[in-house]
Amino acid sequence: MNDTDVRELLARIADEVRATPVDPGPLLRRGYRRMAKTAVAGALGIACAVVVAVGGVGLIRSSAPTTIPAGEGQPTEPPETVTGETTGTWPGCLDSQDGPPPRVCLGPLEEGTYTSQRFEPALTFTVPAGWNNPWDTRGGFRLWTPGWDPGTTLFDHPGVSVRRDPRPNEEGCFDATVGTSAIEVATWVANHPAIATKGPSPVEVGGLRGYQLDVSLADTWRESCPGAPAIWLFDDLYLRDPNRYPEFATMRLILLDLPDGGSVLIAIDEDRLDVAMPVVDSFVFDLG
Amino acid sequence: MEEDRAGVVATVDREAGLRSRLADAYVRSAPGGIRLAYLLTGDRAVAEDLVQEAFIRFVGRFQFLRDPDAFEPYLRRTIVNLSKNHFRRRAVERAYLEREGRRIEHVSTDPDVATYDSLRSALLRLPPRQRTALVLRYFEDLPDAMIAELLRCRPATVRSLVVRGLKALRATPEVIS
Repeated sequence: MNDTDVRELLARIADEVRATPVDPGPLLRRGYRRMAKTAVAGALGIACAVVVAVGGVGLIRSSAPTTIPAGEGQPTEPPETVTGETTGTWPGCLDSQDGPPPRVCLGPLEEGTYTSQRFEPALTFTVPAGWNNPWDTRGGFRLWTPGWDPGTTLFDHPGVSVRRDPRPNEEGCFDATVGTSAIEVATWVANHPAIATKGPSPVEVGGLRGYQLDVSLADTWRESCPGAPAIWLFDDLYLRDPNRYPEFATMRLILLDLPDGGSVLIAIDEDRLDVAMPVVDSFVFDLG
Repeated sequence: MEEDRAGVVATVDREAGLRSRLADAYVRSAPGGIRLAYLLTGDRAVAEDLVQEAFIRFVGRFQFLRDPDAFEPYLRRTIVNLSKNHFRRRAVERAYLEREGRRIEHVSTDPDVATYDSLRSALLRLPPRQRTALVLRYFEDLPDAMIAELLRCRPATVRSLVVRGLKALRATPEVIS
């Protein structure tokens, strides 16, 4: 039995099956539906992880013996209003996970101009009183609009998120085939079957140029996937069901090209556009 | 800037063509995929299920491929992986082989047909990895390096699997006689 005999045998066996594929329409719908379910499961997983992490940190803090050095223990002063640069670590800062010290952020902000401590490129911005900066890492920066609660988890209060090189997210995985320039990421968003977009329109923020899109869950997507509460966009940014979370259902995305390649994403929860856009307009990126 | 914006807006139109591209890719590639899956599993219904499952998994990723022709390699890889999962359920495999064995016992007395049925049965009795290696080399005409990647082993292991598979086929009584 030589190679030719084996080939003939396999071909003959294969010919037993009359390969007539079914209508791909229902398969397409199942594929999109599964994609949505995976996104929802991923969102729930991340949410649970955040809850466990925050709960664990709270438990450790509440159970750890506390030694107050002499001369301390007095109520801390609110962060000073400063211009250009500030330091300070708010106890409620989320773990930046990108090196010691683990938690770096500005925390509650008085009216003034501040600069991020870790985000690259450094971001200077001006806010009125009542804002909060709970998270500051090399790749991500978050501002909460006034009205935040100390127990709020990072993305459960509306605000402004800033991301370096946002990675399009698909089924819980990062799609490496999409480039990092503003045009490439904007194209990915505009083509997403689950997202309705208004725009993109050219924009310039903080000395950087790019594109602005207003995004929401597409009506057609809700119809084909009833009950789907969320669609992943980038990393941990996602759109939620407008019937359940109207304040997180629409988002303004501003994608800006960096001169050294890559891009910066500014995501604003649309519900707070009126208070957030003046802050975004004050952004200045330190481009060295 | 305006030109860039026009480019972005134009890409939105691609969405309309996306579904038809997916449908075309499926219609074009599914027959070959079903034949491959049938050779790997020996079961027509399972073969069709595997190909449909592979396509469903692919749907979410199709639009990000720079080269739409990548559908066929993706389909092949997914079919091989899904068939492995299928045969991990050993009880199912054993039941199938027993059923298949009984079926083969009552084949035609025509010498050619009997030989074919014996060989067919012998092929389906091969361990899944040996059978997969044989099918990928002699039906899909893939190089050993690519087969090794699909089976997650070294090319030398592929050659060993093929040799052992061929040896088993040649040991079929009808071939020996």
